[in-house]
Amino acid sequence: MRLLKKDYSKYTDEDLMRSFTEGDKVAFEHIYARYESFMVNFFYRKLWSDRIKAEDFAHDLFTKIIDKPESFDLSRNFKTWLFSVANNMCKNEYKKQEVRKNTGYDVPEGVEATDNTIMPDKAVDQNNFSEQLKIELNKLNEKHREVFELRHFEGLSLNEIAETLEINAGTVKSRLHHATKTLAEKLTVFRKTMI
Amino acid sequence: MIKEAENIILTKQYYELSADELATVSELVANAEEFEDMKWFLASTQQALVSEKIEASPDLKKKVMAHLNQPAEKRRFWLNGVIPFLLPEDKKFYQKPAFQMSIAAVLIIGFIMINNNSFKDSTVALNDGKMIEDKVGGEKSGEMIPEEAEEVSSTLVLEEPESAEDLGGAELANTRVVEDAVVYEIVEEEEIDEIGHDGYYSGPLSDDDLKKIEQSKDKDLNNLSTNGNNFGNNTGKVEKTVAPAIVDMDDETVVTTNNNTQNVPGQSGGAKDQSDFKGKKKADKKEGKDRRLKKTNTDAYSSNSEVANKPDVEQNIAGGYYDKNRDDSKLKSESDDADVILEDDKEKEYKEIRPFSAHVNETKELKKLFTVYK
Repeated sequence: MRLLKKDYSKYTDEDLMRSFTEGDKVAFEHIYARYESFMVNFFYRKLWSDRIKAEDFAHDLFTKIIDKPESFDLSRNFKTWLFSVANNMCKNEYKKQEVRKNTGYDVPEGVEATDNTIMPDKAVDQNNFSEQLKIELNKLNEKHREVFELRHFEGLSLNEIAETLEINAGTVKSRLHHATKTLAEKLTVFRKTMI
Repeated sequence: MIKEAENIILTKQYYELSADELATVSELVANAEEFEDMKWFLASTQQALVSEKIEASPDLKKKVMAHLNQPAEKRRFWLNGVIPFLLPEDKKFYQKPAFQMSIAAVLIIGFIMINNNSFKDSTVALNDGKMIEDKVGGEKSGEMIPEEAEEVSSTLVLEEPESAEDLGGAELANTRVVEDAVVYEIVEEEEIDEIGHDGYYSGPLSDDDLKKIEQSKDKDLNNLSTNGNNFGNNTGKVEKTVAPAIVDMDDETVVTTNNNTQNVPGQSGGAKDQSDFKGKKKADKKEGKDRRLKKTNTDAYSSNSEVANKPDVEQNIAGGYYDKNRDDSKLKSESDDADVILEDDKEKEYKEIRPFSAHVNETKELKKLFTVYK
């Protein structure tokens, strides 16, 4: 039985995609199982922690792979290719949101959309490290932030990050150092208070 | 490398680092305190990320697997494709863009077709003029302005066809149409005030009318009378020009009478006027015949008198008077025609010019004759 049955768990991502391109639907199910959580969380973080939007984008991403499996270059790394496609989708969404912001009912310049007054319960939450981490991440430059997220949230290596973002590995390294040191310096306060 | 540095920081203590590992982590931390801070920061970040992770809903997997198991033909059309846009499944038929666009196209095409079929009458008249011009002129092929069309059609009406064979059936039909149209225009332009209530034209004749009368003398009476009758049914002016043509053109007296008295038959009295003209014509013919007979009688009388009584002839010729005392019975016996011809009124006329001093000349001439005879 074991000889007749394929052990997809031992297949690499590229092998699974090759099988799926040849018509093996089970291979795609394995690919989906490997990257479903990654992709949903990626979109969740990138798209303003909107769960529904994150699932919609993940659905669109996988249906694109189903409809056009030949768009994947078998000589490339599937993981970096998948993240690059997802990252481009997020960029397109950013552009759409920018257009909607400029055309419509957004708040005029000089007027804050949210109230910056810190409520007592929020003050307690500020002690939360994760909340402060998000705040400090948003203060970072886009280039540094995305490198940090890909490195620490998605677990990509420097080379994978460089391939995903289509930039040099040295650039990724310098950006990651800058982001890590900046965040560490600002969030060290929590360590002292926690102690 | 950085991955190794982070792993080193997370897994080892600062004092456990080798020289290589220390060189590796030196890019991030400079001393043991920073090493500990970085270690705490990385560990806290890992914990925060784990707590922030979400799980995908089972519906997402169902949707993706349903899409995977769909036939390839159904999967061809992307959500933003043309057919899903034109024929969305979740809308009623009248809300589908394909239905709305087809209705709009039908309305636009129908509107254009209806507008193309509605011609104005003036446009149709222009097309007729162009057709006539093409048929008659043959050489002109451009569009015809209305004034030219009127001129062409008017010349068509005024010109008399030499024979019916010269014109084809279709051309004759077109010409009739044009004639009717132009006659109608003439009626509109004509001054009807000149025609009296008794049906006779009472206005003055213009020089053009007189010229037309002169020109019409040479034309065929049948054709002219036909045209005159046609025109007479429509207008008085046409009868004014045509009426003299009805009269015997050889009889100038009639023409002059018409010109002087302007006794042109009108619209209502056409038949009556024609009968009057015929009566006049008969009377004139009779008068002319009488004159010819008179002349013949005179000739016969003179010839007889030459034979029988030459002095009478000479007297008659020389004096120019008729001899009352002459023997008429002798003349009657010699010529029966003279008896028929002589009438009472003419006898009166003779009597009126009879008494003279002819006896003086008669005696003188008789004496001369006798002397010659002797």
